[in-house]
Amino acid sequence: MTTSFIAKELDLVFGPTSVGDTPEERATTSSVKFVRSQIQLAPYSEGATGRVLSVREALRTFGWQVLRQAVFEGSAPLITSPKEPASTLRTRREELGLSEEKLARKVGIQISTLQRAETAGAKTPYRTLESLAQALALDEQVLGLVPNAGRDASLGVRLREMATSGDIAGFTASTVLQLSEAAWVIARQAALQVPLEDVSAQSRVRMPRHDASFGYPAYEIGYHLARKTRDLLGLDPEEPIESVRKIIEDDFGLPLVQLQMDARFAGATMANGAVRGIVVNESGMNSNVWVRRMTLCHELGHLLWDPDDRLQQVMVDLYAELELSDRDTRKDPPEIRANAFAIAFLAPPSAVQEIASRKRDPMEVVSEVMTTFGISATAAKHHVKNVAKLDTFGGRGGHLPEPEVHWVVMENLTLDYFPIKETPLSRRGKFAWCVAKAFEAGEISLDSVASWLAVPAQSVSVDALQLIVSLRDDLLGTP
Amino acid sequence: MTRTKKAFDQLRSAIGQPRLPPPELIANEDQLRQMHPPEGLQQWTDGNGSVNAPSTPPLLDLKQTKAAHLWVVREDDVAHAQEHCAFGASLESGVIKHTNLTGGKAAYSGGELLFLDERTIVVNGCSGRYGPRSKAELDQAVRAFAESGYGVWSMGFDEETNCPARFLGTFPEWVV
Repeated sequence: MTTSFIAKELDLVFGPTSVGDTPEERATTSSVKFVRSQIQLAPYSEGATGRVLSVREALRTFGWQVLRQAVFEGSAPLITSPKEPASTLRTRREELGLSEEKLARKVGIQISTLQRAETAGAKTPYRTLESLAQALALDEQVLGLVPNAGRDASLGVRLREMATSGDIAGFTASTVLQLSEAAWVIARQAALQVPLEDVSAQSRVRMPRHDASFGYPAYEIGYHLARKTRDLLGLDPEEPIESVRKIIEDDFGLPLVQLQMDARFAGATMANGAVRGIVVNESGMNSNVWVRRMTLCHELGHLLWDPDDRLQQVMVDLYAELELSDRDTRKDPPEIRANAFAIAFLAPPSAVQEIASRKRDPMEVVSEVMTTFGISATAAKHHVKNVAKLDTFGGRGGHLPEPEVHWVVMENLTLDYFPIKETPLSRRGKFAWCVAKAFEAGEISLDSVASWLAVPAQSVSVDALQLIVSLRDDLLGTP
Repeated sequence: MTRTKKAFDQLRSAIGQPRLPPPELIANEDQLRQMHPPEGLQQWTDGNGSVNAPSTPPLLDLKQTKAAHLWVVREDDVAHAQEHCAFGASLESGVIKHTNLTGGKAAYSGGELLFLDERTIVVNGCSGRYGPRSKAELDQAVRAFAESGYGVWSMGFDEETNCPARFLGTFPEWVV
């Protein structure tokens, strides 16, 4: 009796052609769609203008009982308090120390629209609400349904304090907004990777246990951790690293967000809830791909090996600090260690010594280290000086090489050549691949794709999504 | 002829034919049990007809919505009853459904309503079995309630989901 009754309900919610004994099984064989607004979820019907959800994402987000209610009663509430989602949005904006004007401009809406969204009871199109939630690092899918919409309060407070303390020059409300949105990308990518595990592994290598040793000399510990990381990855001890991006995104499965920030910032590590990721600035010195590879490795060193209590919600690194030698004692030991990790990971000291043993001119050694391992002139000079004891800063300067296009392609092609031009830089790369792949696997709707790639629905086509997937797979290999 | 009869006859005429509840939405036999007056079934009756528009709309809370009545426009009358009631508690679903107001028979329209006071109500069109299928149909139904002599707030039609809006989360609109 009970079984046949449930089967009837499953037929009704997922369609009679779906198969399976559980909602999850049925969802995988169903093409049913739902649609949501600020306040409720309903089965999709012609003429509905809200956000369309695939049955799988609706089930994953709201659960069986909500879908059942939506079908049997025509709609299901997605609001648990009349104050929501206004209260959550306003609290979060204030927590981040953002003015109405700043947030409205970032999201591309009128201030009056933002004020309505922050007024309990006022109607606001769901797409506007989700754009606001994304900018504020909230989980837009449960906005109004779950108190605080998955907000990481520590992250919010930390970002506001960084902007107001004045300790970091150039860290403004705009930086807060950039990093806040990056935190949303990091959390969304991590959530997307879970259902995608079934179609392709989202991380090849397990994250190592953190290492709390920062003793003297910190650079030696950094070198040691670089060797350990190469071992974890199964890399030859002296093999050049073709793509740092691939190691971060595919081998370790870490979200990586590329932004164009104030030229003083190099990169950052971030945590949104339990999820950690890396942010890298494409502007400033990082516009040179060899510098950017060093920044990426520096942040990877922090994320892989620094203990949790050192990795705060946000840690921003400045170019000025990354430029220093790993023997420079003006820096904190964790930064020395991360710098040493980065240079030794990219250019193993033994390989640098081998090059030095073959060349007489220090600048020729520097030049070969740069072109072989894809590192910048400043980094190479420090490294050759430290490892091979050659004078790389005195004497003649000479002409040093620039990165060949190969390096740019391996680190940046999936960002530079992106088939949907309107998609911001922060949402390209592996994040966009995950979105496209989730659509391909039937996990999300085309409407969700548009929302997450921050473009109008008409800008997204199935062909473009296929290209996003194939371009990355062809270049970097399927993860 | 009462105001109620006149107002809802106009609605019946505008809708045309009453609709049977979709059989697939009947989850159990209890949902087809006809509720009777001793069990809490009431007939809609005329209000006194003069309610001025309040200055601010009410923002309903969860507790208020627990006191909601279901309403159904039947062939000859408008039936309503509290969703959470002793009769409902005795049913398999634990609450009454719109089909308990009709015994599973055809009806013209259905939804939920809340009394703010004796003369003022908040109405929505949330019924999986008999709910209005368009904004126009919902507007006709809430107008009928207003013309029956009550001050009426309508939760309106949610264009995004293409169905009537529920009680919680947005301000209702005054029906003039």
